[in-house]
Amino acid sequence: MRNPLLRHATVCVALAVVLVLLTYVFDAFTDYKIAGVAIFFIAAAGLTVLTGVNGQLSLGHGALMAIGAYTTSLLLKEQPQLPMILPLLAAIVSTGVAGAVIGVAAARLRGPYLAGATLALAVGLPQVAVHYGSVFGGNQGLPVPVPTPPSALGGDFPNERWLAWIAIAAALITLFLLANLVSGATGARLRAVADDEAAASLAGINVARIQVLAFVVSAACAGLAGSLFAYWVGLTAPSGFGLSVSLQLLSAIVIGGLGSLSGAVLGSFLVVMAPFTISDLAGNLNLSSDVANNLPLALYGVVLIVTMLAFPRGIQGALFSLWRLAKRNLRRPQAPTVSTTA
Amino acid sequence: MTQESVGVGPTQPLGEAPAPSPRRERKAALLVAPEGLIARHRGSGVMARTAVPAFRTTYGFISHNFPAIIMIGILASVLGVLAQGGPTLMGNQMRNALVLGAIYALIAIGYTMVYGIIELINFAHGDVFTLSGFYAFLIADHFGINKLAASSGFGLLVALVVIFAVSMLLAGITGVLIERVAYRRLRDAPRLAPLITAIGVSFLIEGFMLAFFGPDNVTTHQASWINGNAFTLGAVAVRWTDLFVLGMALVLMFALGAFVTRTRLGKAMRSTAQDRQAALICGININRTIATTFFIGSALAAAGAIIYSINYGSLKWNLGFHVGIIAFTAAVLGGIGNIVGAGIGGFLIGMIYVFGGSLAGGAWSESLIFAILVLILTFRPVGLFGVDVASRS
Repeated sequence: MRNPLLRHATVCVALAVVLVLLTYVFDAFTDYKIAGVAIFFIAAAGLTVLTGVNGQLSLGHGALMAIGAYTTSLLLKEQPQLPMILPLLAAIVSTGVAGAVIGVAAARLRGPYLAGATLALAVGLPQVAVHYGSVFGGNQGLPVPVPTPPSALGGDFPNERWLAWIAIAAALITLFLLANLVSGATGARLRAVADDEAAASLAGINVARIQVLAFVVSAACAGLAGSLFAYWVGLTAPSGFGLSVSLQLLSAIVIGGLGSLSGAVLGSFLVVMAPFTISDLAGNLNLSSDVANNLPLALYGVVLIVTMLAFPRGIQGALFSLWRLAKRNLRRPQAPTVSTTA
Repeated sequence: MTQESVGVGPTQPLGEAPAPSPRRERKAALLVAPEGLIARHRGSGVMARTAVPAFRTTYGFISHNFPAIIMIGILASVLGVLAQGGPTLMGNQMRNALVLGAIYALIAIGYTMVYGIIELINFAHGDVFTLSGFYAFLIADHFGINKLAASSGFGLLVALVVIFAVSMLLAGITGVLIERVAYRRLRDAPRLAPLITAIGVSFLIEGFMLAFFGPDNVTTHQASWINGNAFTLGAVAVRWTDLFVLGMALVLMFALGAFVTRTRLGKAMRSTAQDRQAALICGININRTIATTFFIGSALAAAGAIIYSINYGSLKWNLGFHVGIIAFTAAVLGGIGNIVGAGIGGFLIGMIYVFGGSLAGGAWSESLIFAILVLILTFRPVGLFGVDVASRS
């Protein structure tokens, strides 16, 4: 299929069918985790466009997710009966606007200074919610009602599966749109700016505008993810959007393979599932409860370090070189270059 | 033409500030990554190009006088505290600010050195700070150092020397180990890869401390080592602890300054920071130099942690996270990569934290720090001192 639009659409529809079928196979808790991966992927995909493709490092995407989540919960506080699509759209718009403002400032900053500014955003913004507790609910946060499946799906349709469907739909729409964006002319401009600003500028690209655009797209994704995250957790509280969320997003895209959307999928899966798996493992080891409760954080750190050391270009990069290696060896089976132990 | 002469750019300073010559700037790149600097002259700045000239002039004015504006702001808040609570409050807060600033300065130096030499924001640095505080705590509790410190004046001296020397050594080894395991192999990997391992190391150390020391505050006994007041200024009591803490921090910082500027290894560090390839060609052992940088940075963080526990008497597993972020702000304030800037930035952040917090209410202290960070990055992304203070080569 030469037409990328058609190719992306086919992949997304196929993924949708497979994932929806999987939600029937698994139990409710696994569906819940799948929803988590999908939500996390939306934000990670947005960050991939910004950091991976456009080369702007952001440590503040957790804060952008918070903007989306608070938009949703404030809307729901006023109008609890809104259909779910409206808070989601509102979150995308408000976070996109915030992203434009931050993007204008960020377009002036490079390297550690951009990291510092977005770090300040990640740490400072959740504190606003604490300081203005009367509006934002302070440390307790704002409750978000669980989305209930429409009655057409039957009375005993689990809420988790419905949430997983919504999250999967949102994730695949995001994937489709971003894949088209990245593979098109805009994607070429984004990459050109990342590679060499001066050269891009000489080629007639408005560097600042492209950088702001990347921030807006990325922020809109973070807003959507934040809004869904609020539904997923059932609560919007400052502690849910600390710096650790931003760092996990970054870990996801780098571990998956920087700059690639499929890498973001792999990374999101690893980053969301690893803590669950590690907790289960630690629970099975018969350790004292003190150590068992606290070990996951340390083990998660080990996972990050080991994965990065093993695959400096991310899992996607490792798979890609493996694929190339396999192809070369298949074509020339007598090639002496690669030993099996390497 | 006339409009251009009104517009102010980095090479066209207003008033008395002399324009740094390009030659001096190049020489001055002590521990600064060139791509970290803003590419304003390339015209990539949105504000610089789209804004009206009047706005541009104002922007340029603020940008160029930013150090003065920060100083005036700090002075105003000091005077504000004076007006609010009289000289006693001001004196007490000044003491608090200096002690806090010393701690931030010691940590900020570690951030700035590591960034300068391998362009990595070492997210694990704040946790190395906490971990070395726990090293000191364990040493003091398990080897009878606490008893020794309480026995006599001489015993106290020995106890302090032992605790500083051993903890700093252990912390230095920890830092070198972290670099060896988590960063060295990724030196030529994509730039974000070591950042992720740094986050991993941070989680690992935090999880380790959480598992061994629990989720609550741990009381350390160093707080009772040094007792009594040295002297009183009016109603402000200056404790021996304060003098010791401040003196220790300053001694360490000046020792570091001497090391970096006067020794062969210091020279190797500066040249590695400037251009790793060129340093390699000149026969500098890059691995040893970078390891030394981590050793020194972590050892200084350990000194900061001991000072912290002497002054505040408690530690917590996630303490380094917050202290680390604020110290990173101090490093950016001083111009990241600039060691002297980080030291001064630490003290300034201490002043802003204490006096700003005193005026605005303690809950706002941290928000204030981050507001300052945003202001710095908006108006003067290279930090207060840019690249030229640290150039002594």
